[in-house]
Amino acid sequence: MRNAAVVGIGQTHHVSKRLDLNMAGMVREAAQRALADAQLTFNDIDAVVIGSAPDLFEGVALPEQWLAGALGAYGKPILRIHTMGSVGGCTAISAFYHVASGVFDKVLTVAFEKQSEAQTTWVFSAGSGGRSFSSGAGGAFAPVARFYIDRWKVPLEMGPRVAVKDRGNAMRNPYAHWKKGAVTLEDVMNSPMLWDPFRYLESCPTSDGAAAMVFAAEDIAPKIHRKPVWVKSAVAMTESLTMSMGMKALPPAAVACAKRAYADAGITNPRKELQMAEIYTPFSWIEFILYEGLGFCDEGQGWRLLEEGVTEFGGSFPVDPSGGVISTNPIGASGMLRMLEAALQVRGDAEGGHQVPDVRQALGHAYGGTINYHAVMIFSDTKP
Amino acid sequence: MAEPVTIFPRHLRLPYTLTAGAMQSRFAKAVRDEKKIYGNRCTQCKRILVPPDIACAQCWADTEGWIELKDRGVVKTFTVMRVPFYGQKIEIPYVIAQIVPEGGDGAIMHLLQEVEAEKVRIGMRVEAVWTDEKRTGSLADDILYFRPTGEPDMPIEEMVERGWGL
Amino acid sequence: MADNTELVQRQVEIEFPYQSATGAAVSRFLTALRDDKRIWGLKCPRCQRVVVPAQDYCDVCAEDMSEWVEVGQEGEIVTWTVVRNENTLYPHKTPFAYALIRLDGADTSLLHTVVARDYAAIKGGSRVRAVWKDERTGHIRDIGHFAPVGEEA
Repeated sequence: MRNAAVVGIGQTHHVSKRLDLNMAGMVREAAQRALADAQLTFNDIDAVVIGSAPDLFEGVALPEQWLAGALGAYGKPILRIHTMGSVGGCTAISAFYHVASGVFDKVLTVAFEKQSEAQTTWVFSAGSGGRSFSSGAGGAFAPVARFYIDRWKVPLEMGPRVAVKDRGNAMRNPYAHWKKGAVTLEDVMNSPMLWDPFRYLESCPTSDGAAAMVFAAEDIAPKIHRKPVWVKSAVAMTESLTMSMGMKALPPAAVACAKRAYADAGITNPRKELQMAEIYTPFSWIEFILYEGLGFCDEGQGWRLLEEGVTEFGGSFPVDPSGGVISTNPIGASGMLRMLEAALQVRGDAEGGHQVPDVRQALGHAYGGTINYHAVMIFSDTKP
Repeated sequence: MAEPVTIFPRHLRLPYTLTAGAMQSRFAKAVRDEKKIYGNRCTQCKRILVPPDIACAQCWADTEGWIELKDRGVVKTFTVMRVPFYGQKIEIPYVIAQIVPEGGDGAIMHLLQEVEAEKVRIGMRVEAVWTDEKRTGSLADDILYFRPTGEPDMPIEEMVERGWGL
Repeated sequence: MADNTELVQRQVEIEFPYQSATGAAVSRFLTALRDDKRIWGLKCPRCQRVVVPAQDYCDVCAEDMSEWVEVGQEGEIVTWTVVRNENTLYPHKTPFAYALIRLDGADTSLLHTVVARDYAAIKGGSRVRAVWKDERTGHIRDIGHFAPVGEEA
C-alpha cells in the first residue's frame, strides 16, 4: 500500500428540498466543487466511487448508472457502495483504497441523498408487509438511548445538551441545513417528544445534499493541492443487525473499528493525539454511546465529557463543530460529510468560523443500520 | 400558461413472495398452530437466540436445539412512538418494546398496551395477548400486544449480568 | 432439524410514493410536451450531439449543455422488440413494441413504444411519428406512443 491524501473537498449547501436540481444535478454540484478545490476537471479523474442510501430512498434503481454521466465517469470504472447510514464513510474509505492500492492515481468520490423525494420513515418501516412496528430511524435508536440512560443513571438534560451544542455549532457552518439559530436547553426540553427519549430538536432533519472528495496518490498529491490531507487510517467494521442479538449500548463494531484505526495511526491516547472529531450523531443521546465506543473515554462516562465542556466548540476536544448530523442529514451523504469536515479541519479551511484552532490530526466517523455498521478515518497534516 | 413541470411523481408497487426457510417455517407454524415461541442455542456462547437463527451472529457458530420459551418476559428497552408518517398502520402514540421472553436471551419487538406510555419501564414484566382471529404464523400479527403482569421489575443490573445489553 | 414438509411463504406488496425533482432541463422538456406538443433536445458544446430527452449535462463529455434544439416529431426506429405476453404493468394492450427511436435532428435514441398494424413490417430505419395524448400532464407518456408514418390516426 502507498499513501494517499485528500486533495479536493466539496459539498452542497444542505436544505430540506433541493427543487432546482435533480439527483444528477445535485451530485454534480458537489463533485464540481471538489474538483474546483483540487483545480482538476472530470478528465483528470481515473475512477469514481459513489455511495447512497438504499435505492428505495429515492425510488431510482441502480442510480449509479444514471449518475455516472453527470460525474464524467463514462469510459472509467465506477463503483457504488452501500452500507446504510454509514455509506458516506465507507464510500470515502473505498475511494481512499482505490488510490492506496496503487491501481488509480486520482479518484473522485461522491455521496448523496435527496430525502425530500421519498417518505423516508415509511421506507424504513416497509418491506415487511402486514403489521410493522418499525418506526423509522428514531424508533430504531431510541430504545438504545433509553437503555443507556437507565444503565448509567444519566441526568435527563444531558441528551438535550447535545442538541444545544450541535445546533449552536451549525450556526458557524455555512453549509449546515439548520439555520434557525442557536437553541437553549429550555428550547430543546420544550420541543415535542418524537421517539421517547428523542425530542424534535434532538432529532436530525431530513435533508437534500451531496458531498464529494478527491483522493490522490502520495507522489502527486502535493502537486495538486498546497495542503494535502493525509489519511492515516481508513477502517470499516460491521456487526449483527438481528434482533436475536439485541441492541447494545456499546456497539462492538465501533469499539473494534476505533481500535484498529488508532493502531494503524499509531495513536494511543485519542483525546491527546487528535484535536477534534466529527462523529455520526443523528439523535442526541447516541453521541455519548459513540464517545465510549470510539474510546474517547471509559464506558458509562461519555455524557461527562459534554457535562465538563470537553466536546463543546471551545473545549479541549471539540466534537461535531460542523453542527453534525443533528443539524444536517442527507443520509447517504452524512457519513462523507463527517470525513470531509474532519479533513477540512486538518487543512484549516473550515469556513464561517467553525474552524477549531491548530488541528493536526482529526477523526471522522460514520455509522449505519441499527448502529451496526461503523467507519472511521483519521486524517493528518503529516504524511505517515 | 400553466406552471412549469418541476416534479416527476411516481408510485412504485412491488409484489414479492417471501420464503421463510425451514427453520423460520417451523417457528411460524408453532406460533400459528400452538401459540408457542421457540428459540435455539448457540453451540459456543450457549445463549438462547430468539427468534431462532441458523447461526449465532456474535460467535459465527452453529446453533442447536429447539427450545420452548414462555409467552411472557421482560421489557429490555422501549420507545414511545409519537411521530406521524406516511403509511403508518398503528395510531400514535404507541409503545414499542424489545421483550426478552422467559427462557431466552434474544429480544422480540412488539407493542406494549394496557399501560400508559409514561408508566412503561425497562425491566417491566409483561405477557402476550394472542389474537382469537385466524393466526398467520407472524408474531406481529398473532400476538396483538404485550401487557404488564404487575410482578416486580427485573433490575437493569440483572439484565447486564445476563448479557442482554452492554 | 426443522420439518421441511410445509414451508411458509408470504405474499407481500410494498408501495412507495416519490416526488422527484426534474431539474431545469427535464422541466423545460416535459413542460413543452404538455403545453406545446413539441420535443426539445440540448446540444453538447463539445461533442455537438443533440441529446433527447434534454438533460442538464452531456453524459458522454460531462459538459453542461444550454443550446436548445427542437427535434422532429418523426424519426426512425433504431432497434425494437415486440411484446406479446400480457402484463398489467405494460403501458399498452399487447402486442406493442418497445423501441429506440432517433428523432429527426437528434443524435441520441429515445426509448418509447410503437403501436403498429403489422409488427412484421417493422425494420431498422422504419419511419414513425409521435401520437399525442389529448390530456397531458408533463410526462414522457404525453406522447401516447409512436406509430408508423401513415398509421397515426
